Amino acid sequence: MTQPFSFTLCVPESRDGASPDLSLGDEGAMHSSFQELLREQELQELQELTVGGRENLAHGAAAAGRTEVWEEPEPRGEHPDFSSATLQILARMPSRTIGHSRGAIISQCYNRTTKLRRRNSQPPLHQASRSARPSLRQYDLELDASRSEQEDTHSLLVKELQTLSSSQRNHILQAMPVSLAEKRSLRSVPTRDRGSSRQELGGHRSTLRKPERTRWPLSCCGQLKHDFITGFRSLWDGFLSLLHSLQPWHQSLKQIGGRFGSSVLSYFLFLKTLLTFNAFLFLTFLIFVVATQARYPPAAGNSRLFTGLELLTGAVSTALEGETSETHLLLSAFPSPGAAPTCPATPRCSGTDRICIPCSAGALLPAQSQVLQRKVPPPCNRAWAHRTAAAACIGFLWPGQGTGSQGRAGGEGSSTTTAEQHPSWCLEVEPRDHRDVGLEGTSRGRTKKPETHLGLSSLFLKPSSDGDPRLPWEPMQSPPALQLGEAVGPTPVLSLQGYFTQTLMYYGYYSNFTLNDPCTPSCGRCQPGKGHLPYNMPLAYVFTIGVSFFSTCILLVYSMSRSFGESYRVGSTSGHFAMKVFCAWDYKVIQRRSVRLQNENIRTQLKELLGEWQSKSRPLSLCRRLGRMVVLSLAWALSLGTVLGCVIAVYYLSEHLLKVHRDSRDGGSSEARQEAFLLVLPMVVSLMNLVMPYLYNLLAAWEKQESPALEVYVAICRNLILKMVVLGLLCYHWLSRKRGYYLEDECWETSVGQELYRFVVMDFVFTLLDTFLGELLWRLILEKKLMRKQRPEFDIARNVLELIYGQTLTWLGVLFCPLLPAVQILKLVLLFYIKKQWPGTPWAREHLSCVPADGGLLHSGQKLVAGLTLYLQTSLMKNCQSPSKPWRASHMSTVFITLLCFPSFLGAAIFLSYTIWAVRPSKTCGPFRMQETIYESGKTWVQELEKCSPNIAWFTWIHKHLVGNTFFLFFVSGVLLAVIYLHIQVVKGQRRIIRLLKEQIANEGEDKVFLIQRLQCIYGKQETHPCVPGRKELNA
Amino acid sequence: MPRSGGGRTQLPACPAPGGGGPWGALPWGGVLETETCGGAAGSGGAKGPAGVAEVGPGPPWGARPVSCRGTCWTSTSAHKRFSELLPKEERESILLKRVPKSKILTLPELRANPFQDRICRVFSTAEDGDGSMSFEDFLDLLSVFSDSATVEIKSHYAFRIFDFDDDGILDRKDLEKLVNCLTGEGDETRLSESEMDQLIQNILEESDIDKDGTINLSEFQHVISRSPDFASSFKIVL
Repeated sequence: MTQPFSFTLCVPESRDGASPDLSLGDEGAMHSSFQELLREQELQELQELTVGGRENLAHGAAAAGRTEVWEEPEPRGEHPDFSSATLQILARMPSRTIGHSRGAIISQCYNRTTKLRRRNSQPPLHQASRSARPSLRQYDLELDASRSEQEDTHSLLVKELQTLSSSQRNHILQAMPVSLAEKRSLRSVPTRDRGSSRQELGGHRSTLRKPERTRWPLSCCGQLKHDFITGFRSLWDGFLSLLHSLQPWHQSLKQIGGRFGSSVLSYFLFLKTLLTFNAFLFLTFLIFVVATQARYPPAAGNSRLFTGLELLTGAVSTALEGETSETHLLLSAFPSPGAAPTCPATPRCSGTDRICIPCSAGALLPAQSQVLQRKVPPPCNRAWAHRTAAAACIGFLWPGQGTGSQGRAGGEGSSTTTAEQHPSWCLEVEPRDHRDVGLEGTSRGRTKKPETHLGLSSLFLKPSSDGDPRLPWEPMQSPPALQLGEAVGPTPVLSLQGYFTQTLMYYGYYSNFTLNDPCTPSCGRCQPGKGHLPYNMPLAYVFTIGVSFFSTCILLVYSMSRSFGESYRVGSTSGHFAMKVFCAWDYKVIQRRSVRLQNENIRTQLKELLGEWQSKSRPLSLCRRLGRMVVLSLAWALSLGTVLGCVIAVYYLSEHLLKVHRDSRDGGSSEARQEAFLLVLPMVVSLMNLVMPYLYNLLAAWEKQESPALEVYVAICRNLILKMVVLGLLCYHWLSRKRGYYLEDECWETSVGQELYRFVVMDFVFTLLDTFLGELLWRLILEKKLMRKQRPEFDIARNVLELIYGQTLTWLGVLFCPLLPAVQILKLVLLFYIKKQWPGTPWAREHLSCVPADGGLLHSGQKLVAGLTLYLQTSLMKNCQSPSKPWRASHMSTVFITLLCFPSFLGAAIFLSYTIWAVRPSKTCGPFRMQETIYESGKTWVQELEKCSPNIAWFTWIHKHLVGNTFFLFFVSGVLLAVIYLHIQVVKGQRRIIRLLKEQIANEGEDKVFLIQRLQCIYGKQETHPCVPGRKELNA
Repeated sequence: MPRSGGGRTQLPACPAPGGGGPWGALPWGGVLETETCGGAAGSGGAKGPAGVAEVGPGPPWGARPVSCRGTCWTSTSAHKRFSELLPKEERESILLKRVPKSKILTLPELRANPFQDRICRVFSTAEDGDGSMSFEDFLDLLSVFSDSATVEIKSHYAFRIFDFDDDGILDRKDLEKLVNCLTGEGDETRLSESEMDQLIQNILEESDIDKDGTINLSEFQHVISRSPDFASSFKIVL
């Protein structure tokens, strides 16, 4: 008996006695009013507790008369045998009131505020933050009972808020989960109560405004200021809303979210992210490389060009020295040696203003040309084109300059012409790119056709059979690049490719000129006073690539780390059930049907979770485990085997195709065939990418992973392995074909760019095919064969992997095809609109159901249209079902961004770095035609810089000692490793602390249970309930 | 609330001209001002809502169209959507009127939501608890469900929404109701008795840290903090 009584006395004392001792001192130091209130409160509390009657408490609660205040609790399920008085006290526990009582929330905010203020203004002598919390809690718990007292807390909080700076105040108000009216009253009180402190509140605009308002007519200056502030603010608001309205696809994304929920939305958001990356890449290239090149088309050669030419041909260097940029080149080829010499080196050869120089020598002259437009039957040129080109020579046109220039050219030419190589065909070609002069690669006697890979804009033929040199030149009907070019696809989209060959699209078109060059190449004759900054195209090219990749890398790593921070919490390993239940509902979903679907999904997921949990609790038998192992290893062996098979197939196919291509080119087979050959590889690879995921799906259905999340990861893993291995092989193939198979003079970069372009386009085509037909097939299989009712779900993993694959292609190709990001942007936008089409389906279905079956008065046309739409749309949108898999959207988006970063971006970066550092660019085209490697151009630039302007020697020093020095790289990576190690250790420490805290919480919980039981003992005695001693008590 | 590019979303800075709506507030920003705007010159004090009148029923300092002309055209969906819920003749005094719960629930964003009643109940400041909402309450709702609300605020309100009996804790009954809401109320869609028991048992085991048989706010927030998806799914886009 004595023990419970001692507790009865103890309970109030421990609450009243202990806490004031600890807290009142420092509380009083802050503000005396609070101390008084607290004392009052203690008295009241003492009264209440010593009386201990539940009627009193209930009365007190009723007196509050507020809806939010605690009402009479119903007996709880978890403590059914507790007396009502105990329950009253339980209900007043701080941890429970904070959830529903406004007073408690305000007091919590007050606590935070005081803590904040003390941290800011006072020395930590008082240990205020520790003691303030419990005492205030108790204090305002009771305040809930009465409105006036609550207002006191209110004003206390307001006072606290006043002492804070405006930004802190805003922050605190922002974080307060109270209603708008409450917040406003919290804000408005200061200005009403403490007029003198307005200025101290100053910084914020509302408080700025109010004093103004009261004496508005007086202060003109203040009004001006006010007007300025409001004007600025409205501008800012307008700007914000403009930004907001600029956000693309807001409505579409809302629709998608409302229909399919967050998980499908994450796919579209990922698509949007990729779009941003591509837009960034595209814009950088557009501004720094493409626009410049377009402004100065390569026909506008300059001295740079001629140095290159001089290096290559060596014949006409003097003639070209100092010539300006208006140069068009003509290339003449005389393919059939041994035929009658009909094309002499003299102006006679050309009908009008054209000089033709026989090819044995080759000569270079600056000229301007106009292309003749006369007709010639095409077959004859093709015959030539596929046979041989014995040699090539270069001539120039001098339109309008008449005989003088011709004479000059003739003089040059005649000096080098030999008579024995006179062709039966005389070809004169006007290339659009000055790099075509790099014909030195086509050394004489080799059987190749320079113009096919030079992208000639016009080709002039003269049949030599008649042997009359005075015959007019006949231009070819169409640009040879299209006719003889590398690949003219059979479809319209692809046939563009041939047209693109000599455009800004590809690497080969870009020239190596320098704008505003103050220095001659040797830097011997610098003219520093020129005032313009030189713009070096190769440098621009390489720097644009470098900078854009570097910033993409930073962006990627940043978004990856942010998404890791969001989705990965230290020590969060368990809690699937609670998380599922508390966070499962997607409030964005607004359609009734989707809500039903979401209900169903959640139900299945919960059931799955329960089943999993139950199966986990019973371990599998050895036999079944063995069977499982066998199945798993078989599935993996099968998937890896298919990957290997695919890779080998791709490898041999690519080798074979190359051979066939070369043979057919040399053998003069039809262009359509050649082009078809070029398309085979991309088609096969895309087909693989299309079919294999379905195979993996089948495998997954067979192996039946125990957890759906694991299934998703396994599928991602397999698809990724396939895609990356195939891409790696292709990269190897592209780099090696440059060595072994491509002719030296051929612009291999352009052809790789074309290949990548074909891959991107094919990938898109096959994605569309997949969307339109493939998933329909899958659905038919599901419905007819497997007798499953549901439609296939939108396979986010596969779709995202397709996006990642396309992005990898883009990153790989950006060096060779600077406009590839534009293609990718186009592709992504189209994909967005095609994939998001699903929400249209219900319309068609409703429409169809509206139309009566017998037709009748309603025109059957309407029905037909609706039916067609339905068909089309369902074939488009068979994925009407949102995924039922437990899809943790943010977790998966972390995975996706990681995949985008790690194999995709890193792989592309490695490929490009290797290309830049180690691979020799082709000599006849592109901005780096004179360099050994692309990296060389940067190096030469630094050297030139060193020579030209010694005042920025620090830059070259940095280059030499930091970039060029391996020690520095080692040092940086060492530091990086150290930082990583440090972070790992920090995380380890945090884990330990979390574990300790969890233990502590568990202990506190046991204490709480113990105390509650004691409490129950006390009140139970009063209500003559038997007291059941707790475990703790027994132990004690 | 529409998705915002930056940290702050701009809610209706002030309602359409003539509405007399004295609102230049970012509800979640804590930037709570009682500035008047709109062309209701001279009548701002009289016409303004209770909140403003309470703060300063002084001179008609609403006569300042310049202060909001820029923001008026930005005033967006919230005001429009809310005034659409009101009958035509009441749209003038939007801040004084309350929209009954039944009307609020006709909003497409809330119509199909299984927690619609709770949402109304939690955000309504009506004295009699009928769930009717004023424009302020509506803004409150939107701000909590917006992008820029912190996870803490979101989880606080989620807790209150899930706390069906308003007693400050989630006990077994609350959890059962919650699960039923999630899986659908119908008899055929519910979980079976044993499944439900097992589920609740597991939830309590996982999240009831202090082992008192219920989940209080901090325990709830602890669970929420481990689920990164919560912030993105606890969102209503207007």
